[in-house]
Amino acid sequence: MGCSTMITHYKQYPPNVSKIYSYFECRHKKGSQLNEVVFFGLQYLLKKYLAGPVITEEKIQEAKLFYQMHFKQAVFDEEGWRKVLEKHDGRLPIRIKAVPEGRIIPRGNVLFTVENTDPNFYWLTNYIETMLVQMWYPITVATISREFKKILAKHMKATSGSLEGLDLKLHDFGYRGVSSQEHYKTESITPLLSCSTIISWGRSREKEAFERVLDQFSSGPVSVVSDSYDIFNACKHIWGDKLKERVMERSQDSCLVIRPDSGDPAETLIEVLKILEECFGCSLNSVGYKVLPSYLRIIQGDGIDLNSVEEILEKLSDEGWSAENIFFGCGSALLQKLNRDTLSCAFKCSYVETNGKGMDVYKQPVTDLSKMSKRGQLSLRRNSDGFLETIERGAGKPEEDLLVTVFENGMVVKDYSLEEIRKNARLRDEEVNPTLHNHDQELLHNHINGIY
Amino acid sequence: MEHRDADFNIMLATDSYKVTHYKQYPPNTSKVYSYFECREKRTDPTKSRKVKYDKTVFYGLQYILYKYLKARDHDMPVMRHWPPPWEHFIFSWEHFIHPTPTHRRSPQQGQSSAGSAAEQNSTARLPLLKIHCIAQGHFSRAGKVVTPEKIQEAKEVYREHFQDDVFNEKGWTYILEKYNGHLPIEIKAVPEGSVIPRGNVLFTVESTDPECYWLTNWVETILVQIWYPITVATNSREQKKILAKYLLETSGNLEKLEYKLHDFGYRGVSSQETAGIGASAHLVNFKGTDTVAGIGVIKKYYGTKDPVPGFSVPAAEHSTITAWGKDHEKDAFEHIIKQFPSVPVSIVSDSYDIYNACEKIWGEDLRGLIEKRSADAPLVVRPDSGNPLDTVLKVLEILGKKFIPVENSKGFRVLPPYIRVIQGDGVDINTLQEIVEGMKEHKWSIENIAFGSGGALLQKLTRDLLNCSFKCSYVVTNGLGVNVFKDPVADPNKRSKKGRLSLHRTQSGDFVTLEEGKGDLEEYGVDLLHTVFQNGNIVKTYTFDEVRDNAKLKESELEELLH
Repeated sequence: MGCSTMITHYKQYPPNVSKIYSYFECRHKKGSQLNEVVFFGLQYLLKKYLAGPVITEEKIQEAKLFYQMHFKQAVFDEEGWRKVLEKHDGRLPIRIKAVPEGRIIPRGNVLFTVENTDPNFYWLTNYIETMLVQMWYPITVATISREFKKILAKHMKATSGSLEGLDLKLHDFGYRGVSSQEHYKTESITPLLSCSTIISWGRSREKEAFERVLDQFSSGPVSVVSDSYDIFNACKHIWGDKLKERVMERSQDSCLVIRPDSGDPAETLIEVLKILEECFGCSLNSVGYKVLPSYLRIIQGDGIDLNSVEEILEKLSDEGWSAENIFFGCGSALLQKLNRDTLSCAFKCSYVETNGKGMDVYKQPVTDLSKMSKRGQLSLRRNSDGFLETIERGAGKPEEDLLVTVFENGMVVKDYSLEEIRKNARLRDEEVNPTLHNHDQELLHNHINGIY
Repeated sequence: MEHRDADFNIMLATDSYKVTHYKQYPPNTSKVYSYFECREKRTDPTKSRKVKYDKTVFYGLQYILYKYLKARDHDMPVMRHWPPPWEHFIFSWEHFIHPTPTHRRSPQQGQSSAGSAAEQNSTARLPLLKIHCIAQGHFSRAGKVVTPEKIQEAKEVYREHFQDDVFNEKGWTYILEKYNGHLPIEIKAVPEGSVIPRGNVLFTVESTDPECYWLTNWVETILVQIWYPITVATNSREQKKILAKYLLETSGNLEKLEYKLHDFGYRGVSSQETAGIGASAHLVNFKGTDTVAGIGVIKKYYGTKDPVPGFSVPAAEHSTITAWGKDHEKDAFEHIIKQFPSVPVSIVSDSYDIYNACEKIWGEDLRGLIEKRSADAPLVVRPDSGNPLDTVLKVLEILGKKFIPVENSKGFRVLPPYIRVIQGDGVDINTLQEIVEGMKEHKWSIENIAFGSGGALLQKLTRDLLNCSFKCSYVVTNGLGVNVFKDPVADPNKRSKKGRLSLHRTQSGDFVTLEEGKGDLEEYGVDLLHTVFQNGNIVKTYTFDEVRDNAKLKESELEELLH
């Protein structure tokens, strides 16, 4: 499961190497808006790919043949892998220590470390790099998703005074826009309509299509895509006129959620809200923002990403509309428009033992100092100001180390429940009320960016 | 040989909202017919996109059909509790139990392609393994598309997920009982590897049983994931065109073009499965890859006449250099170059100072060792940081002072054959263009260089790049066929096609999609869409060699590039 070239690395290390110790981080990036990351996804990888007896004689044979053809010569370390099988029953002699899942960690800190536990298998540490680096994905999705949550929370607090319903504000529309079945999903929904179910009625029967939906789903919220031909006409003449009474019959628990799906998101929404206000009226909430009647809401599921969500909520609040009126659906920006560079995720060797002696190693390319890596054995601790920091060169005190051994010699030794993970990742007070904690934010910002 | 995860449940592999759509179509609908295209985007003239992507490579449907939609008739005894599936290797337990895949035999091809020695071995072990499996009771029904258990599972999940009983249990039970899980749909598609202009129909899907009108769009989610292999293959091919142009201009030929863009993307993709699909899509156009997973996908789902469709060479990474310590970079280089005397070896040289490494270590200390290497086994120097173009040019200049280049027939400089460069950092279609243009300006032939691309090749892409979209265009309600479409006032780009569709070639050789069933009239000749899937069976397949052949660069394209 390594990159092809990993196969040849066992021949490239210095002679008498007995330990390779590497670590994973989301490097600093100047100018990035994302300063902290949610650590998530290692447990999945460990259980799915690394735990238990993963090496067998058959697999060694298959790999040997395969690499013979791939490299057109014999480079595969057959003996090395056989030793894993014989000595360790096919279980990987590796130790992985990691930050607890769900924890929020500033960029530029060690997130997990990997080292071999048997001196014969120094080459294993970086062999599994390729697969472990795919951690970039769940970390990045969780981080971006949390950023969305922060934006939504901020606006909800400001325009409605509370965070009720925050967890349901951002819906995952990304299934068709991801690259494969093996992916990560979020949760619950309401019956939503797609184009085909509306357009299959034909252009002149859009009203009948809408009506059927209201009939079929009389209890529970229902979302209806309304832009197949003309969103504004649909809102004004069909929802707002021909079917107005049917809409008004619905309760808060079975509200109609109108879904635009084209055009400039912010402008379309403002226009739609204006039309709905004309047809259905609205009320003012406790902080003075306009809210549609409780049987009527909107979901914007087209063109949503971190920037557009911020823009939309700003414009809505400028026009006096509460964030309570709107839900969001996010597809590719949540699950696909991300890559390893988004958070600069990297895996680097920082310590080796050769001829019985330990040595701190690193890279420091003169052509790009942001690519410099950490040195020596690493630990993560909270300093006296309360900020998280990484201690290099083995200088950390074990009792202060927040990294926990999660995998050892083929076994997953620490499990996190979904509850624990969610608890670790929840929004903090200062993230919901940004104006109240500017000083702390500034301190955090300086700390992260090394400004003293 | 298809390898379906026994746990895959098609009833849980759709967007939630689709679960409720069977209740929303007009009453007495007996057919829903939909199609897939990479929509044209009439660009806003103020936003000029550097790369146009006028045509797309159609690839990846066969993988989806085999893996997720094809029916399985028999209970397949499979080891239920098994360590993780190392999918990029050739075999799995299923393979031990079932002999040579039948899908590779087609009427034209005759005998199936000969398997490797290991495949022969597997059939020899067959009886032993079968007995073992029976004895251990490790059976499960692997891969049947619809089973009573899966229906139950879906029913329970959706009851919780919606807090209501909306799941179409009756509809799925009907498919189970009447068709034994064979999905009553028909899919017609353009041949895999075909290069088709945007805005044309690429495949159509229609229900074949009036009771199952809802099935067509149920499978949209899983079918639309074809956007990924299509986009990787298309973006990779556009880069091949850029490389071809500059290679031709600076050397007069296209030698080694297929090794000029190497896949470095394994670690930068979102999952193992993505790696396999994406890597295979890149291999439609090129032959160099480090994403081993792609090879397994090709062998399993397409088949090739060669033992493997992709190759690589020994190469260093930073840890194998830095592990020697900062003061021992030369020892590291020397050790590694000596380990691989007779094949190309790529050595990352920027751990501390790329320019010093090129000038002093490669250029002086180890020069003797390098000059002894043959043209088949060059040292390939790898920078890995800094502005890509500037770094490449500076590296070439420095190496050029130490290893004197010659001028080729086109007047461009080429380093001696025992030394080359690979740029594998920050490479995407735009920087690739910049680098080859910059090299040409400075009179360096593209023969000197190869490229590696990771995130940009396999990950930095979305469904929006080629506007991949699946839309309903025709329904039959109350016995009457109706052409349907969407046409949102706020975005004419999102307008969809109407009626039954077909793809044709005009007399001038252009592609055209006919709507509203007009393809039935004889004027435009044969429909280029072929039925590939029918009622649970795959009825037409393509080998990877055919895919590559369909996707290769045409003479006319090369001519166009040079002018």
